[in-house]
Amino acid sequence: MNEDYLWDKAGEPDAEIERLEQMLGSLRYQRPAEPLPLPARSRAWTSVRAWLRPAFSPAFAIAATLVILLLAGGWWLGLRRAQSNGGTNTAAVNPAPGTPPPSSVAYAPPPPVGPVNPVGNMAPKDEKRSSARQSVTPRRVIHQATSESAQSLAKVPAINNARRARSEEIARGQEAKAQLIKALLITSDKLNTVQKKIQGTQERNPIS
Amino acid sequence: MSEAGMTGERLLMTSASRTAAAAQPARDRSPETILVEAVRGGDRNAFGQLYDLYAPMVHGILLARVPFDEVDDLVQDVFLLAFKRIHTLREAGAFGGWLAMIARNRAVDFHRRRRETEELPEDLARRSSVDPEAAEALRLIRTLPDAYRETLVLRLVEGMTGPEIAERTGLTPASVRVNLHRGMKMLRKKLGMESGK
Repeated sequence: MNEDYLWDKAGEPDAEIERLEQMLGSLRYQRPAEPLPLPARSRAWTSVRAWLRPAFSPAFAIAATLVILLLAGGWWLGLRRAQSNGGTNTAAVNPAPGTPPPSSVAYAPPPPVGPVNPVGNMAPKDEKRSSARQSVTPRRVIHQATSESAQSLAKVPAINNARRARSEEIARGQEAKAQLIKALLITSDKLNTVQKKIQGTQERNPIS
Repeated sequence: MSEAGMTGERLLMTSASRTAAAAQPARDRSPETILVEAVRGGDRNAFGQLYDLYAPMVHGILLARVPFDEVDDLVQDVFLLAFKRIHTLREAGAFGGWLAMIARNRAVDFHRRRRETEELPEDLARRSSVDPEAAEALRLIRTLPDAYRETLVLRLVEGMTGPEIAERTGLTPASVRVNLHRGMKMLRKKLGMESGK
């Protein structure tokens, strides 16, 4: 058997191989008259896919991660703020036993009481009685004013405590916000490093 | 200059090459690579050129496995499948091996489906319009192991040389040479046995 002829048709032809070639040549591929009917694919879709293919995985993954991190951070901050506001309001409405009432409650005007009100809605018949009472009323008013100011003075430490608690909460919130921003910056920095590495790999091996 | 080389130089001057990635110089890439990248960029004519280059290989691979009457339809099936899935090919230079694998899988799929639907009569080969001697020689080649029959069909039926077979299928030239030599030896024995009966 002529191995060269079998390999690349070089050298003296082998009779049996030639006979087989002639016999089997009738089964050889013949190009069809009509071209291959390829499925229609829109030019826009093709160009979009060609544009997306090399850049899709790393860049889109990084961008999506950043967006998710930012959304999560914003949501978390909003939740914290809502919680701190809700806690203050709850304390204002339902103060704990032993806790002094907050400032808004302390400064609420007292409800009107009949005998205390010197003028009120009095009938004309009671004018004499009322003039008799008027001699007593200033003392009562002075006494009531003194008791109110004493009550207000007693509530001052409670107001200060509430203000201090609120300012501490604001400070804690700001500290948490700063920590979150720092974490986001670190994440973004790391993602940038990963993207640079991926781009470097793609430049070295552009076919894959 | 070989056909592949001429095709490569011609392609370098076409617009298809402009769409190829610019990171690697075009002269370092095979014409198949340039064509595959052009197809990925939406050039349908480039796929037509790939079809012309690889249709004999796909035809040979299928002919080694399925009835002659079915081969032409299956060749089209294989190329349509390749066109749809070409974006999944990671290395454009490996197109030949990838396409050969699609053709082999399609042949396996054909036999699986045929078993599920109906049994074909055994004398179908004799009833077809193929030359009886050629059909008998092809039947004998099909009795050989997979690697040998595929290489022999590409060499004896499609008229490809050993180096061309290696280039198209992605096999090493040494493997193709061994397959051709051993396959031909086995075929000669079978032909002798048949003629001796």
